[in-house]
Amino acid sequence: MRYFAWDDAHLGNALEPEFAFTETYRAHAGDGIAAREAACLAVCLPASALPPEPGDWFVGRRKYRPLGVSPSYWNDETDGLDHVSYYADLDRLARVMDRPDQTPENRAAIAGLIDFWKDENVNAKVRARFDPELAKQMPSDRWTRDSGVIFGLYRLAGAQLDYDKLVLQGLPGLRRELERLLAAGDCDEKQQDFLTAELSLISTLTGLLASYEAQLRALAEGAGEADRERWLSMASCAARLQREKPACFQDAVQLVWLYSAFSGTLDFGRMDEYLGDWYVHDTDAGLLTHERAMELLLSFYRLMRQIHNRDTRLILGGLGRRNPENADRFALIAMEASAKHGEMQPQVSLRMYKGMDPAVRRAGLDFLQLGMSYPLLYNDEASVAAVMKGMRVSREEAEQYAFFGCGEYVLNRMSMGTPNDIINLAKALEVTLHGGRDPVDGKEHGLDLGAPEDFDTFEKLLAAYKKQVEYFTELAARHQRLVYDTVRDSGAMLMMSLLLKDCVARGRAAIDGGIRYLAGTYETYGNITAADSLTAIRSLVYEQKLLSLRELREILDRDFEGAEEWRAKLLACPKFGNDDPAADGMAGEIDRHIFEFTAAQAEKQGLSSYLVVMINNDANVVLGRKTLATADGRRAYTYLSNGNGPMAGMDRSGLTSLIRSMASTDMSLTAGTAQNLKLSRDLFVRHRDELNDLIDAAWDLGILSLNVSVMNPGDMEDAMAHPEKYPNLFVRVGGFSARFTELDPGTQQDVLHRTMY
Amino acid sequence: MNGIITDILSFSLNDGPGIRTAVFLKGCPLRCPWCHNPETLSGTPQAMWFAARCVHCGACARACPKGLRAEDGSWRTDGAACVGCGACVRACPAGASVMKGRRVTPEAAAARIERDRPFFRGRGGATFTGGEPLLQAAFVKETALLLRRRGIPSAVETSLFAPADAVDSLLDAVDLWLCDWKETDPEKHRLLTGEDNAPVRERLRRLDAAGARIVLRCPLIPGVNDSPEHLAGIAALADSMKGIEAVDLLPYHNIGNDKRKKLGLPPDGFTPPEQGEKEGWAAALRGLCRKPVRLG
Repeated sequence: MRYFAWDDAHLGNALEPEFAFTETYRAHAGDGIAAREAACLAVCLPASALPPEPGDWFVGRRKYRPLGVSPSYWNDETDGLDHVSYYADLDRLARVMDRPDQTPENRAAIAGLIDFWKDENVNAKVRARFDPELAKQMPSDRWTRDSGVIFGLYRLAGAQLDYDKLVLQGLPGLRRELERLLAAGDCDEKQQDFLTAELSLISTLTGLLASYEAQLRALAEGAGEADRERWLSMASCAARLQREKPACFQDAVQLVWLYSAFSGTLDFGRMDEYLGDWYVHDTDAGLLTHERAMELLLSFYRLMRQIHNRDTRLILGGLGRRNPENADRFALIAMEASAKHGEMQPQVSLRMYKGMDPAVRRAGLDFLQLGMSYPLLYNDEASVAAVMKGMRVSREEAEQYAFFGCGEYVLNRMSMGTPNDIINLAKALEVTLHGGRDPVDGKEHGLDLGAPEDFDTFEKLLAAYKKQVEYFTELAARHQRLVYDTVRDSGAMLMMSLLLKDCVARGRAAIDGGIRYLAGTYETYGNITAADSLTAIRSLVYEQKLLSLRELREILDRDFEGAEEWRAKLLACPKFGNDDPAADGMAGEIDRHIFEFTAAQAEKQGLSSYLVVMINNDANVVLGRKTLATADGRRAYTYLSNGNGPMAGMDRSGLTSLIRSMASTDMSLTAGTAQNLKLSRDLFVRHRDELNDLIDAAWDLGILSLNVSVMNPGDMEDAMAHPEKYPNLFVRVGGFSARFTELDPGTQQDVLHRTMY
Repeated sequence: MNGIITDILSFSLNDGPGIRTAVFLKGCPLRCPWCHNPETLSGTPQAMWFAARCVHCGACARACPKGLRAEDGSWRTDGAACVGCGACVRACPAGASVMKGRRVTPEAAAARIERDRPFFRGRGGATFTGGEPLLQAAFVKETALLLRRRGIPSAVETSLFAPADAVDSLLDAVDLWLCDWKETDPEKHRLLTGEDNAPVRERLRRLDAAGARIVLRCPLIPGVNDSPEHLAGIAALADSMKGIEAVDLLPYHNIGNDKRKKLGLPPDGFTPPEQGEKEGWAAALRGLCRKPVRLG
């Protein structure tokens, strides 16, 4: 991503901050883990800060340097993988080292840095702890390049921080709480280390504000009148926040943005709740005009787009807010600003519930009608019930469900659970059919459960597939635990821990017993591809006995070459998405199996819950590129099904049937599922009553959420031919939204082939 | 009492209020040349050919007893000569040859419609359309009564070109009548559809007298029946009957041509109106008529 990390052009040859960071890391090796992280943050946060740009209303531009400590680092110009805790972008460092104009001294020194960090970064430390089995089955983390059933992701950024506490107390209030706990004098060594480190972090943040204040005053000196007023307003805000809690809406947004930018978490939680009171107070007191509020929000959104450029969930509406009326008023302007903003970040999401303010619902659908794929719609009644069951919490806590990035459920302010592994279920079936060998790279993979002839009944084949899935699920759960343990032993994730319940009260880092619910999740891909394949195999091989499993496998291995009639027969078998009991029943059977088996891993791994997320970004396309033809009739190397959705275009029985299929399996043992719908704008413009009926019906049937892309018939086809005419054709791919014309061709094909209603 | 239908389609938004599930009944006494649903004209099953699914294996050509299919599977001769024996459908491995027309019991039809109940929400329901549903009035009645017992309302979309007792038999089973009024001038009506419109007018009076809820549905085809006289006739008719709640104008759409192709029939030769033209019709009618006029 362009904005996430420093690009080569912004890095000098000498890499002073990287050396300073490494020096600090080494110098504090003997200190407590939290103290060392606080010292490292004091170096790497200021080094990653950038000055404000013209038009900004808030300070806190930031770009990640190639070395640092963060819950997440990601740079798709280098390896494109997620890194966690102490990260090292070794490719980036090597590029600076190898510059033609690099000095021999720098070159040697940077070689030393690379040598040190190649084993010292936390991703590498996780891998170093792999047991032989994990090492064999997860030989690579490069899921975009290599073939495999399972890959690790190394992500911890997904948590919704307690921004309400942040804006109500301000940095001084947080400081006072820490000082009070330390002064109480009953802290053990670990608590002392943690609380002292958090104090140091607050000093670092205060220092950042001071440095920004100075920058702003300098900017104001040389600026014209209009700009000067803005720079000075920002400077007083930066000054105030060093000493006091926020005094106005602008202060509150500034503090949230600053914290978000430097914490490495990318999501914004229930913003209507924590900003609603500030917005309403300032507006009603005549301190904030609508115009200024819009200006502030647009600047806030621009920063999300330019700095985070990923995830940025902004949640509106829903049960369990302490101030629903004020929050709803903020929700209205938040959506209005997003429509004006016209970009994919933030990802505005609306939690809907029975009895919600009709004006908010109407505004949400008006916004959706614009075709930006926002707001993403959530069903509170079903989601709260699902979270109670899946995460094993009370109704009150479940009402605090939130979600990040792609839509993975988490408990606002009190749990973590970023997906940490991905599994390709179509591949799991493929290796099962190939005796524990991946036919794409020829390597041994998974369990050898027998030759096709050994599966002389369908039940035996299904049992083998399930066994294979269980094997990989156990690996994923072990890997999740290993990531947590390694991060726990390396750092304290101070910025997240400070704003997650109950870290400060317990005096413990989030992963080290601080957070109330340490959960885990793992992403499944190709659920429906696997289910439809099994449905077709059952019908053609076992019921109709038209060919043997070995013959079918050979046809798939050669991608239907010379066997188009067989492909046609496979395609004609029942498919998920048509309210067909055979197809939906199979999907339900394998979904339920993996949901239950995954949930059962929580206890074994000491997690509060461990759940499947059935939400796909475009990895269904990427993983499909390493998956041979499948028995549902899908061709080799093309996209897999996405989330809880039919294989694109296979839903041919109407929208109500599609929704019934999506609702046919109980999803409450998941941490979220993606239901993508492609709806015509006509439905929004001419049939609003029926649209409302449709949504209410989907909610009554228990669907957790809906991702709706709205467009006119033929838009996508035309956009492929004339991309210049469609800069604003937005689509929801699954876990993220995008401009259609900017998607890679494989993903364009997936989205294009989905049925439009 | 089985019905012969082509399909039961969910999420229909243009055949009555709310989200509706439409039952397409086969067979029609009229032959309107602009028909959107040509596969429902014949009362017996027929094969349709979906080019996009065809793998051109020729299995259907080898199977067809009348020699109607080319070796690559596409239609070669007049699809109207298809007798609906189903040989090509049974032979087709790809689902490209599809039999349009199957028998269904009222119980099965009602069960299928009931799957959509969560979407009706007190507004939507079932709509019997076609073809001409009144040709299978007994099936419609039985199904609609089954649905009514389950709290699901029914509408019928009809040309009203049917015996009076067929209309009477449905009065207690149907909640809403969507009635065609294709052309006011009787002579022109005969020319266009092959039949006089006097019986239609009489059935409308009958429905009105019985207190039925009626929506007048008027297909408008540019240059064929969009004359000022017909618009005036629609207005007069609508205003003359208390039971007519609204007038739906249904501008010609060429969707039927795609189906005609799949049936091996020549195109109908009409051109869809521009948006401005459609709105002109609606505006003109609104100027003449006291009842609500909706543009479909």
